[in-house]
Amino acid sequence: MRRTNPPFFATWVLEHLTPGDRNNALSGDLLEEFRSGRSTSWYWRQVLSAVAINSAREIRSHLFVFAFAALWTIPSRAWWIFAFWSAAHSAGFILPWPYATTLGMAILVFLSLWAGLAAYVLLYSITERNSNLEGAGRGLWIGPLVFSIITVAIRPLYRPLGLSILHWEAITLFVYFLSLTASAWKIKPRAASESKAKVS
Amino acid sequence: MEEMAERNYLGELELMIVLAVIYLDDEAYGVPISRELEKHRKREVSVSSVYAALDRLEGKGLISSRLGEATQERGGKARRYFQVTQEGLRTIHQTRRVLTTLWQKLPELERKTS
Repeated sequence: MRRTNPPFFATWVLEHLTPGDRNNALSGDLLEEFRSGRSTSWYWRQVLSAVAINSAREIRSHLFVFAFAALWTIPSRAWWIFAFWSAAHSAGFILPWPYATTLGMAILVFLSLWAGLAAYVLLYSITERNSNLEGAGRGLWIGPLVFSIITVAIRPLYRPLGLSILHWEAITLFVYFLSLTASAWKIKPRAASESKAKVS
Repeated sequence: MEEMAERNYLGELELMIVLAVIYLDDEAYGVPISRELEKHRKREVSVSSVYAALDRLEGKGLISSRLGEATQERGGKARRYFQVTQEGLRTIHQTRRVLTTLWQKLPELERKTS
């Protein structure tokens, strides 16, 4: 017996990885086609193609964010060395608590991310000639959250994989780059987003 | 020269999509447009690539769109209908003229392929 609904997970992927009002029409079209006799593999191919096309479009429209995050991450290496050194040498004395060093480093990393976000907002508002931006408030917590989650998740892998301190530094810098990119991802002029909402 | 630089010329997929939109008239939304392309290209079409091209064409002002009714068979999601604008019609005529002129310069090739 033929199923009337497409695979749940494929639909979930489609709706969560290709968000936006315009993609509602695409989602409805795929469902209509599936119910008119298309196969499950056809549905999956269409979903994966939609995700790839949407991702490519998102990346193209955020090239400025990537460039800024990369440029901010490179000099931040110096900041990192200072942060780790000072946290490792002082936090344990100032705060008599086992995780004081980690906390100290985290605070310094978060400060660096927030400084990066502030610099991005300033640069973006100058280039766009529009200081009425939205998404910066979200960026304040997204960056630290992304950094914390990824760092905690990959921490247990260092020893089994036999990674050196240089690997660790490179990975951490990449995580920092991703976190800053995530912070600035949704920043856009408020007026443009409102007019877009009206059109769609 | 300046006039030429301002003109829009359509790529292969874009031209096919605009022609399908004109042909389908009031029924021009994602599913029939994709079916029409599949029928003539004789291979599977990614519906999202059709939408990406439609978005580009809409951005250039060559087509316009409106939301239609949401139906149960589509999971309550509305159809998005497309229509060619006057600028779109001008552009396909221009593209056709350019292609025809180029083909006429190659009579031998035309004889071989026909």
